[in-house]
Amino acid sequence: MTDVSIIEDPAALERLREEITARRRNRTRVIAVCAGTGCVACGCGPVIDALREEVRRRDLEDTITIRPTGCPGVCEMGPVATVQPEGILYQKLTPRDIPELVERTLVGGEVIDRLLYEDPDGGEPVVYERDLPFYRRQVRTLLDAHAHIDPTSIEDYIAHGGYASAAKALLEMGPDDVIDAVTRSGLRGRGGGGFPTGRKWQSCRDASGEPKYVMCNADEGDPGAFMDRSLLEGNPHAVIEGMIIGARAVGATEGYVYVRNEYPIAVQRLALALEQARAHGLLGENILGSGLSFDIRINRGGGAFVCGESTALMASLEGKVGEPRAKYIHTVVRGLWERPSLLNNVETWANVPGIIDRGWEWFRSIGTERAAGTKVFSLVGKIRNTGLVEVPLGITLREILFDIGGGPSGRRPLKAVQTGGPSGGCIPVRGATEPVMDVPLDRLGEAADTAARGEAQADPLDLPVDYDTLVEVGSMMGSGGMIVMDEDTCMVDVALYFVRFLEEESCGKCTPCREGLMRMREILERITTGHGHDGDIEALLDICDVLEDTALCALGGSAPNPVRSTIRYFRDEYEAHIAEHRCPAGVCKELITYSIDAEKCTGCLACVRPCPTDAIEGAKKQPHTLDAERCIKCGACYEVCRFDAVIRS
Amino acid sequence: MDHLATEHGAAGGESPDLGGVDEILERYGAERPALIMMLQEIQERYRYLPRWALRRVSERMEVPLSEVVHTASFYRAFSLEPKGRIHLSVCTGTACHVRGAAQIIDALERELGVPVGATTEDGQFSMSTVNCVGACALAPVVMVNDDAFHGHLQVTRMGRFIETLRRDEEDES
Repeated sequence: MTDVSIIEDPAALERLREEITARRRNRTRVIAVCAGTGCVACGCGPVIDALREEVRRRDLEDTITIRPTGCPGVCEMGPVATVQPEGILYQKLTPRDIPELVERTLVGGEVIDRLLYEDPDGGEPVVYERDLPFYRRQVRTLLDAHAHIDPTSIEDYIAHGGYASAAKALLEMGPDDVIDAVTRSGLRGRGGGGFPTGRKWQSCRDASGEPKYVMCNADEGDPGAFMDRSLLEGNPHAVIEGMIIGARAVGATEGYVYVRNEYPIAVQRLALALEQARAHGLLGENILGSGLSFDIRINRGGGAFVCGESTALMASLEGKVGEPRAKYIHTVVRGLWERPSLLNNVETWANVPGIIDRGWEWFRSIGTERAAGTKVFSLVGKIRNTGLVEVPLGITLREILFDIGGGPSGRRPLKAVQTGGPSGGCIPVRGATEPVMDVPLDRLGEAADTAARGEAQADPLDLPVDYDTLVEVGSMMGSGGMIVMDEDTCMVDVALYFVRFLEEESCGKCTPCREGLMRMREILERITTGHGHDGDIEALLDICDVLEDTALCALGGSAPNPVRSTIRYFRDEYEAHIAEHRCPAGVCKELITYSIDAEKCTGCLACVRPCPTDAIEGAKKQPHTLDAERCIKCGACYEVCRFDAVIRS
Repeated sequence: MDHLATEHGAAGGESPDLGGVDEILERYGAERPALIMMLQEIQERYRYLPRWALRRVSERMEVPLSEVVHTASFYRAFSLEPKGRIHLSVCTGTACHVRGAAQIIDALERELGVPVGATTEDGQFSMSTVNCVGACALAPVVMVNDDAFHGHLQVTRMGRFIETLRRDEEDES
C-alpha cells in the first residue's frame, strides 16, 4: 500500500490508476474467492486463510493475488472461487483442497476435475465460469465487477476504472447534463416502485431549501431479497460514487446510507470504503478539485420493515420512531429535517456510474422500451440454482426459472413465483416444465413489447419481467426477491405468512392497516385451521378494497397484494380449505395427518429414531406403523423417508 | 411501564454501569437524532437494553422516559429482556418459510423447552425470529449470536445442533 494522499484532480486519479496497474504487472494469476455472506456461512474464511498460508509458504506472494470478493451469485455452490485470467470455476472448496489447487492450477495452470461444477443431470463438468448455464442468460453490468474487486480495497476499485465517472460528472458535465443523462437512460427506481430516477433528481434540484440531502436506502426489508446486501458487500465504492454524482446533480452537501441492522458485513465494508474515500479526498471538501463538498454517514436501522418507506426512513434518521406520514408534499421537496432529500435504493445508485461512464444510450440499449437496464434478482426457494441473478429487464419468467434457475429443486413441480416481498403477489407458473421459448438476447425487448401489447400468449411464464407487467398480473417488482414455490407450498398459508408479517410490522398509525391486517389474519387463521366458512373469501376481498383505498402509506396500501393474488390464481385452494377442510399442499397442520404406506415401507427404521414423540413403531424389515394420536405432525419422518412411504394427507 | 419506574433498578441482579452508558452518550453528544445509534451501542455492550440504562439515557438527554421506551420498543432490533448467552435468531424470511422454518422453530422449542422470545432458565439459550437475514440460498437459516450463520437446517438434526452449541459454549467457559 502506497501512502494515502488526496487525489487532487482527475489527472491525479488517472496517474494513480496507472501506478496501481503497473505495480501489479507481475501478478499473473488471481484467485477470486467469494466472501459474501452466503459463502462466509459455507466456510470460505478457512479456505482464504489456507490459500494465504500456502501462497506465503511457497513464496508466491509477488505473482499470485488472493482476492476475497463480493458475491458472484452462485450461492448454491459455495465456497466458490474463480482463477483468472482463465476463468476456471471451482466449487465447494475446503482448506484441504488448497495445496493441490495452488500447485496444479495457480502454478501449473492445470484444471482439477474434481473441484468443477457438474450438471446434476449428468452433463459434462463445467470448466469455465462463462460456460455455466446459470450465467448464460444473464447480463451482468453490476455483478461482473465483483470478481475483479476486493471490496475492502479502494485500489481494486480504482484499478477497475472506479471514480472516473465521478470525475467526469464533477468536472466535465454540469448538473443539468448529469440529470439529462440519467433521465434519458430510462433508469427507474430499483427499490420497487419504479419511479423514473431522472425525474426524481430534477424535482430535488428544482426544490428550494438548503442544505439538500442525498440518501441511500439500504433497508432491504423484503424477506427473500438480498441483492442490496450483496451489492454493498461486494462493491461499496460503486454506491458511494453514485451518491457523489447524485449530490453534484441536485446540489447536496450531506449524504446518508440507511442500512439494515441485520447486515453486519455490509455495514463494516461500507464504513471502511467511506474511510478510504475520505482519505483519498473523494469525500470531503472540494472533491477532485471540483468545488463540490460532500460527505456520507451510515445509519443502522432498527429492524423495522416500515422504515424502507421514504418518510418513515427519514423519521428514523432523525432518531424518531419510523412512522410514515402522508405524502402530500414529497420528500424530494421536504424530507429529512424538512429539507429537499433525494432517496434512492442501493441498486439504483450502483447503476449511476455506468450510465455516466458508458453513456445513457448504452444503458437504454439493455432491457425494454418501458424498463431499461438490468435488474438483480435473488432467486430463492424451491429452485435448483439459488443465488443472485442479473438479467435484462423484459426477460421472461420462464427463462429465469428454467434456463438460469435450472427448474425445481425437489421432486414436485413448480406452482408459483412470489415477487415484490410483502407488497407483491404470487404469480402462477403451474404446469411449467421445459423452456420452449428461445429468444436471442438482442431481441428480448421486442418480445417483451409484443407481450405488452397483448399479442403474446396469456401464460404468465412468458410475460416479460418488468415493472408494469408485474403490476398487471397482481404483483410488483419490489426490490428483486423472487421466491419460487412448488406444489408442496400452500398458497393460503403463504397469504397468512405475509399478512402476519405485515401485521407485526405495521406501525399502527392508521386504522385501516392496523385493524384490517388483524381481521385478515383472523380470517386466514380460521381458514387454515379448518374453521373457514362461506363468505370468508368475499370478506377478505372487501378488506383488501378498503386497505387499498384508505391506508396511509405504501405498506398498508399494497398489503392486499399477497391475499388478492393468491385468491385470484389459487381460489381452488382456498375453497378446498373452507369447504372440504383439506390442505391440498399438505402444509396446514390442523388439516393433515401422517401415516405410513405399508406397501412402500421397507422397515429401515430411519423414521423411528427422529420421531420426537415415539409415535412410530416397528421392527427392522417390518412395515412400521404411525400412531396418529401421539403424532405432533413435525414432519421429521416425512423428511427422512427415502422410499416415499410416509404419506401426508 | 411499571418495571421501569424503579430508581435505576437493575434486572437480573447486575449492578448499573452508569459510567459505561455515559461514555456512549458523550461520544454522540447525547443529541436527539443519535438516540437510535446510542441505544444500539448500549444494546451491543449489555446484549439488551437494561431499564437503568434507559433511565440514564432519558435523564442525560432530557428526553421523557416514555419517548425513549417508545423508540426502544418500536424497533425489533432492541430487546428489553436479557438474552441468553447463546442467542438463536431463526430466520422466517419467505425463502426460509417455504423451506420449513416453522418446523425448525417447533423443533427448537422442543429441544430448548422454551418458546420463541424466551430465555432458558439457566440463561444459556434464548431464541427470537428475524424477518430475513438475507442468506436465502441457505434456507432454512439460524443465526447464532448475530454473527454465525447455520444454513440448510433439517428438523431431524436440531437436537444435535443444540447439543453442539451447548458443548462449545461450556468448553469455552
